[in-house]
Amino acid sequence: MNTAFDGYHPAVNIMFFAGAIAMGMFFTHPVFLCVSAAASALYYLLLTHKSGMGFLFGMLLTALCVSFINPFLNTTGDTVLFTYLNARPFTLEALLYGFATGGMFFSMLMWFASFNIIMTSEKFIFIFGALAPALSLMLTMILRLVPSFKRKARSIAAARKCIGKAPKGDTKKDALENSMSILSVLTSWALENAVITADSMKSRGYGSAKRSCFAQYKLKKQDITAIIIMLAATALIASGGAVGGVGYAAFLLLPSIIHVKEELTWLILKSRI
Amino acid sequence: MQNKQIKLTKQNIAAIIIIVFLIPLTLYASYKFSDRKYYLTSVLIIIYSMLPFFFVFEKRKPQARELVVLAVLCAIAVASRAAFIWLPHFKPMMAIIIIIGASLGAEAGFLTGAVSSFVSNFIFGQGPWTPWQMFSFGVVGFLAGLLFASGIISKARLPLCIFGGLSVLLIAGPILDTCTLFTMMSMLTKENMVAIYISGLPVNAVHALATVLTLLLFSQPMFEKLDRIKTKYGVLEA
Repeated sequence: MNTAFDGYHPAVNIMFFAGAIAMGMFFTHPVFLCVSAAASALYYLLLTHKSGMGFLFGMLLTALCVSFINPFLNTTGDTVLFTYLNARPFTLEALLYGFATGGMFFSMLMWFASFNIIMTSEKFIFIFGALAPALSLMLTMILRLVPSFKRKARSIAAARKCIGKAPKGDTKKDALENSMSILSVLTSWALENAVITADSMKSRGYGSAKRSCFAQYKLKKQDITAIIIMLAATALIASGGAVGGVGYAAFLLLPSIIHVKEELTWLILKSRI
Repeated sequence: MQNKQIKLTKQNIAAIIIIVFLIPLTLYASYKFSDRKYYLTSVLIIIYSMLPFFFVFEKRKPQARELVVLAVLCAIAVASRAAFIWLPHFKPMMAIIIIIGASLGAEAGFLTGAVSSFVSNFIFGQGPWTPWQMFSFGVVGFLAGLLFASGIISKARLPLCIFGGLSVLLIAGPILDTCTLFTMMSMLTKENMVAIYISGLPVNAVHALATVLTLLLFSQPMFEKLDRIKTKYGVLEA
């Protein structure tokens, strides 16, 4: 995955997503909600192209369900649209509230979907490496160990089959006991290995100096520009009113604009060849 | 032992600052400046209550052996699902967190719980549920550590299984349902609370069953292995 906003400094990435998600949860004004839902869907589609359509419509459907369930569970409101089950009202106000919640739900999930594409664990570790060195080292190790343990679990299962220790019957109980044995073997092996790894780390000087990071990101001119734009947009939002709405749109559309600009530049450059 | 005493006090001070100042401040701000920001307010409170654990762990500058063993245990908790791939919805992670908490102490229980669920979300996708999952798994690991240290529950199978089942049904499950409630509902009414908690019940029951089964079959060998590591290498003696 190599998209335009992806190439920005991780701090810019996380600033944007933290801002977009926190503000998306904070602002319930209908215009703000629409802006957030539209901007999040647009950026997600720019990132995934056609492959993201299914997820997008699935989430849209879920959000609509969330919206329409609300009036059934909440009967407050003056404008009664219809009644059901012994005069239980279905009110317009509750439905509108439902739409607000559904819109917020939708834009949150869309922002997180883009977040999962842009914020790789590597970037995360780069950002938090300085703040929490022990925890981010743990994170790096776990992310490397999980796939290796999954492979190991498969090879243990294969080895057990070879020596005739595969589950005897077809019952769930046999299979469950077999899986527990695999997990048990895996744990013994992993714990013993952990101590060897730790001793090797220690003998190579773990903890003797400040830790460095594999991925290196430098703050470039484009990153500073992006930060300034985000701060200016936040100031506009804080001033409120229609200007605030414009600021909100500017903030949320930033990665989409960067993305489109990059693609256009590429198209122009390609056409010159 | 002396060292441990200091550690706990530091943690207490950080916790007191957060409980006395930050949490009421957030509640007040949310009440005063915005109406019904349930999700945002609750997530902030959850993050505050997790910070002291992470802070103390960093401050202590953990040794390589402790760090790697914890990382390996988290990875086992996350990867354990792979051994049961043939059984849909069977999640043994909570059981492993409980065993770790019981064997290595409350702090290790919280850390492995919170970190494992965070990492598993790198695989299954981060979302508004991430802090809630971290918190619910961390709290159960922490409770397991506390209850075992105080001797209320022993390492025998039966009390362990009862604790595991109840902690999923009464603690972790409801915490995750509350997350669903806050993200899906605009207003808290009796009806939508009942609807969400009841619809969460089957999922929690399956999760609890998986936890109990894993504890039943896996807890004793796992305790043996952890004890072996503790006596053989002297790591993580709670």
